Amino acid sequence: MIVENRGQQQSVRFQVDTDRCCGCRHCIRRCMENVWHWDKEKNCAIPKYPDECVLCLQCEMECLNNVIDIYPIATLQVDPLEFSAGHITEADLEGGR
Amino acid sequence: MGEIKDYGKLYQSDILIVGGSISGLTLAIKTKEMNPDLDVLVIDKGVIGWTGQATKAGNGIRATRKEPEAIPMAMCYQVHAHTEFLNDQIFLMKYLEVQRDNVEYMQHCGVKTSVDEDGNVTYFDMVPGMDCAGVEININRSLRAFALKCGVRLLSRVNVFELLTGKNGRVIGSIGFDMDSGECRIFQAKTVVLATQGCHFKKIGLEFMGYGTGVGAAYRAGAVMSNPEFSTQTDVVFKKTNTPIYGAFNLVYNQKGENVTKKYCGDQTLYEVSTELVMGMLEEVKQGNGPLWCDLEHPDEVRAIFGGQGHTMLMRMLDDKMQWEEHVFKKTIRSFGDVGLTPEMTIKMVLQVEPIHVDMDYKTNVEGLWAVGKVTGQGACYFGWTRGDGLGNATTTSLMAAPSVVAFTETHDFEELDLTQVAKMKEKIYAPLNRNTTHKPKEIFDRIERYIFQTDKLITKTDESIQSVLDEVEEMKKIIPELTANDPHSLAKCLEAADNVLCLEMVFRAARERKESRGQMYPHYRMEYPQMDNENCLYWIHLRQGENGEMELFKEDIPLWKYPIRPQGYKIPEGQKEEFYVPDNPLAPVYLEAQKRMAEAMQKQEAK
Repeated sequence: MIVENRGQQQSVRFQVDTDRCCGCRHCIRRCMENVWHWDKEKNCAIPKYPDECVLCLQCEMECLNNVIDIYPIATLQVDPLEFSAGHITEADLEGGR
Repeated sequence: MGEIKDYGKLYQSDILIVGGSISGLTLAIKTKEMNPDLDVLVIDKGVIGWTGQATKAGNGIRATRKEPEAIPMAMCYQVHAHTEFLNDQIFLMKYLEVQRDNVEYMQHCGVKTSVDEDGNVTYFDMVPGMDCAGVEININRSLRAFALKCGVRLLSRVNVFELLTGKNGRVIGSIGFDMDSGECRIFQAKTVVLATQGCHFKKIGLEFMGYGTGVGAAYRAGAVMSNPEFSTQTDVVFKKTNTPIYGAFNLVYNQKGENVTKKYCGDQTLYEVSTELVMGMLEEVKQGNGPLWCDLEHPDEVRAIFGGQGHTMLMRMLDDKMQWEEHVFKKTIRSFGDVGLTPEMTIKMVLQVEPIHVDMDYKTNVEGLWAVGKVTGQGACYFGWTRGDGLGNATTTSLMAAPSVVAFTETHDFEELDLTQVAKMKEKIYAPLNRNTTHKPKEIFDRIERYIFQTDKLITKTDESIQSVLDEVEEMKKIIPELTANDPHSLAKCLEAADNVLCLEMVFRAARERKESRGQMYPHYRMEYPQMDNENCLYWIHLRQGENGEMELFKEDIPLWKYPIRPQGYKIPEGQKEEFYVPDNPLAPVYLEAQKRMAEAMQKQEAK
């Protein structure tokens, strides 16, 4: 399963081998941002709310079967100094979405 | 009208602690140890023991040094260090006293810390009067196990958003929902404690934050909030990863090869990102001298201390923390490549609103309601934050609160819940589920996130920029009643968005009122009033919900005539008299001596 989130400042991709999820749910209990949820139908954990991820990667480290791989795609899409200097405009932000 | 069970499942406990990270668990353990007969319940929106900001820390835990002169030394440092002269110095003295033993108390609770061969806590030097010990990253897991042994009850995956009050306004419970099923949960207690974290707005990589729901609930129950204008923290970060370059404040260069720190801040060594440095960095980018870069080939002493390159600092990070750091680092390199020794750099601004006002026992002005941990960071008028105080503050505040929490609980009975109020609160909480509108909470979070890109709104504030935020707050307030949700997660986000906007209003209302510039680590800076004004601005700003539902502000003069450390030339106001430097106060000569020693040390440092 590949899930991608494109945010205003941060973008991230989750690559999860859900077939190998052993059901330990360590990812769910470790995440303080409520990214992970149990999918009753597929019988595995899924990153239901990827836009909440803060890239702590503790779910990866806790995963018993090592099936989670998180790729930060971009962590700083808007440089505060460039934005404050007027080099990036509100219109650029709208266009980038 | 029916019964409570018609509205949701009821949980009763003598003490209800909202928030199950380090502060909430420490308080639960301490209260249970003081009186094992008390029924203590801790609730959290995550799984207690594995979530909470503390589980992402591991950078050390602060303690006051053991020697008697440590407290006056720490006082002298802290009153000048960050938000000069705005500390409640009597509060700070008690805080430092309690903080002496907090690391040993953590050890007693089964938490692993840095130790010597005999198992005694070992510390590394920090700032005058204060030490820092290493601590395991899984601190909450250890505290959870100890809390369960003590008989504390834990309830995970429950998110509460409102406090329930009794006939005279006393807080007697709380209401929210289960984060998985969405079912309503109602809590009734003799005493309620908020250990919820503050409000930190839109999260970004490796920032682990609260959402302001504890602040919002307390505010609506009548709690006073204080000093939110001192909420912005700034770090210098790698442009590639948006993660801090610890201690790189003096190593900022432009494309011409000029040292930007020296150019704008002179020869003084910076130990935090100053407002002048941010202004200088922005100016260089405006002039086309960016991107700025950091010279890690030639680290200075500050970089060595903060960046963990000095050998004495390594002990602050135990093995589990190092494993996590290494894992994150490897993954970052895979995505973005190595940062190298001359990386491009920029700034990261974070808003941290922690305003619940408390007294020396961490009790709020509302009967039956206490608040502990970071949610009181500015509200305690303590203003003594140093690095390592995230965990140190969490434990110290809980140890300070425990005696009064126990005493109140032992002498008060349950008060009957008001069914009409429960029904009204439930309806309010669930309202976004029943709306036929299209506005999503992300709209609010994205708008707020843009402030975090703008230096003139977060750091170098102007009359105009403050007003523009307040105007936008009004616009966002109109969207809040139209936010819509379709499951427990998005419902929580709608309610969090509303409290984010409330906290944002607090920051900018208070910022508009304070017409001066002051502070370093969490500075307040006004372009029109760039100087610290000790003649007119030695006050705390408080906010509360007025009777008409609107936010109202009031000021309280800081009683410096009761305190040992005062600005040069300070004159006791008319109607007050000297209360510290009086003949029968044994602390008076101690503080005179401590200030003399501190002044000498400063002179030596300046000469060096």
